[in-house]
Amino acid sequence: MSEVLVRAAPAVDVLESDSGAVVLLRDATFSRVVRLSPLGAAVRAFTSAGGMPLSSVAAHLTSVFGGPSEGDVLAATRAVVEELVREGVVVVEPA
Amino acid sequence: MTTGALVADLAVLGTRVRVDLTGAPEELVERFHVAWRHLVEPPTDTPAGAASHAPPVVHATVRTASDGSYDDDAVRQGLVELTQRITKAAIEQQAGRALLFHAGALAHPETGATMVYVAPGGTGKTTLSRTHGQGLVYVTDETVAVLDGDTDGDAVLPYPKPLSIRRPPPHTHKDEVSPLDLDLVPADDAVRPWVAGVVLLARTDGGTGLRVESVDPLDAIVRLAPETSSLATLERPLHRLAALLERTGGARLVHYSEAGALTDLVHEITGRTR
Repeated sequence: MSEVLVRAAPAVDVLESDSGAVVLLRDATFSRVVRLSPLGAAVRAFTSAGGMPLSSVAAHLTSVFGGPSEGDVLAATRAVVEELVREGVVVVEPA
Repeated sequence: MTTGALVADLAVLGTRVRVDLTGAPEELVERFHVAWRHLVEPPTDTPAGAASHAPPVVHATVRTASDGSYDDDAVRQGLVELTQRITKAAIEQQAGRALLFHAGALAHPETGATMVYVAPGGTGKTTLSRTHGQGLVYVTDETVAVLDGDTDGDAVLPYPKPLSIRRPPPHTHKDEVSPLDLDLVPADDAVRPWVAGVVLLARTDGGTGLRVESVDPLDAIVRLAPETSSLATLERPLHRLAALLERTGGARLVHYSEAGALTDLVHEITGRTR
């Protein structure tokens, strides 16, 4: 994943709390609820206004949560974003 | 309402569903009127041009053999499937308006304080309704519809449908039994049920104990969501769900194996006041 833009996918509703968030997604056939950790909730919230570069997402997460205990912050952010993509919470597109 | 009438309206879930039994076996027509007698009303005439207000119509079907014959089990199954169609039609009319849970509910006969117990099919809603229904009002064993808390005070729209009772082996088909024939008092206009508490049922095998735990609000919504209908048709549905749980003390997860173990919990919730 070279530099990409991360954007929150449209949601019917999003509910946030200190323990993260719940997102209600709907496609053509059914709706489902996805539970987000505080990390995932922060990524979604940061990208809800429009596509953000992965590096900016990483910087934002660092400012909120501090750096990862091991590994580099960009790789850790990439892993979080990939999980959110699999859940349909965010989409990525070329920068 | 003449017993055995082929067309009848049911006042259910705050709306009406029309049942057309034309062509159904006489045994099914008779059993329908016995099981649903507390909810049957004469069909109302729909004014000319008012098609949008006509109730949805559901029909009964009975599986027959190639020679057109059918047996008692086929009639029973036909009644079970008719109940499912009635439920579906009622839910569709409240989609976008009410929070709709796959749940049972019992209410205090005077205050209307209602315990809502959410659970997947086959995990004890009907048994719980029967076990704890004496002294309370039977609201439903299948679908709980909750109106908006801000405008309607978390009012519950009653759906005291017949209960689907398992028959002893070797029979596999269930009986649709009127609550009146199970010494239950079906909700009517005399009581106005409102949500006093929401529990999530988790049936366990063996033992007689009970374990009740509080659930993080977001985790509660994740558990509740699969047991709702048409959630995405509501305005800010997750917020509405969270607000309901907050007003009612939060959802609790109840691990149990025998319905009798919930007596104190049922009394506690239905004993609440606003």
